Amino acid sequence: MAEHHWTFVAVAYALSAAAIALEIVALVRRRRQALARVERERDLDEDERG
Amino acid sequence: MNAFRFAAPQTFYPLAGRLAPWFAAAAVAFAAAGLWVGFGIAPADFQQGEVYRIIFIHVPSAWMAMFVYLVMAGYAVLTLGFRTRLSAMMCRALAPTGALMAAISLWTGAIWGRPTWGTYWVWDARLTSTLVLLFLYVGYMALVAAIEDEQRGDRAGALLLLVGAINVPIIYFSVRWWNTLHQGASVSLTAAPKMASTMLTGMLLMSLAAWMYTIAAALHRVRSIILERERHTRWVRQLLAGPAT
Repeated sequence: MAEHHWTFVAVAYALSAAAIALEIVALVRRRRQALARVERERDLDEDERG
Repeated sequence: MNAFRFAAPQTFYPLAGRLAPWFAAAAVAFAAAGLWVGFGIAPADFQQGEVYRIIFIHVPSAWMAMFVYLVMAGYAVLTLGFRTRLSAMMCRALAPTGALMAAISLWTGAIWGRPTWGTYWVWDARLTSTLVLLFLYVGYMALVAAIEDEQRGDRAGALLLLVGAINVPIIYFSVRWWNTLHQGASVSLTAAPKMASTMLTGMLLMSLAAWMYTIAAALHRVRSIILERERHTRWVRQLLAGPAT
């Protein structure tokens, strides 16, 4: 098993890095969605007011 | 300066926007330093060989998973006791990162367990209580997402957080209270560390990186939550009408 130690280390770090990268992508997407939602509702309100 | 004014979403929003990039930069710097010490300077372990280097991600993520839950429980007290809007938003902002930390600690522990214990998983008190912590995070996120009325969702979630907080001391003391396959604490405030100083330095640097990352992610996420929740207010409309922030 000792010869595979670096494989275990690499898998542990690669999985963790991938998960963190996914979270960062999700954070950016959520920010964009929040901004788009606010702007969409603001435009709707302005249209209603004429 | 009255710090309580930052308890209002309107004043906290720009502050979070200014702070988040600094915490993110600090996270990158601490992670780079921690990985350099952990992989470039720290020696191989005399018993476990190279595989012990998983400790530099496993322990910081496990600490953060527990600590974030306690912080959320603190915000839950504020939510239930004082009905502060920002505290409930912070709970929601912290939960995904706390869950991520719990998941990382579980899978890195499992991957570490295979070459050292001969198995990925045992129903040992430390492992099981950490799995319960992950379920608490997921349960909290599912609960607040399922309740349409945001304030009711906040209160229900806060209650769950407070009830679940009992699990954190169980995780921490599980290796003392029960005979576990998981090793005892390597670092304690009351005893000398049981590891080489370079190993400890690498672990502490990576822990700082995990702290900084968690704060940056929570600040970034809470800004989105504030925008969504306060979207009908004049200050949000004015904010987005002006230069991008």
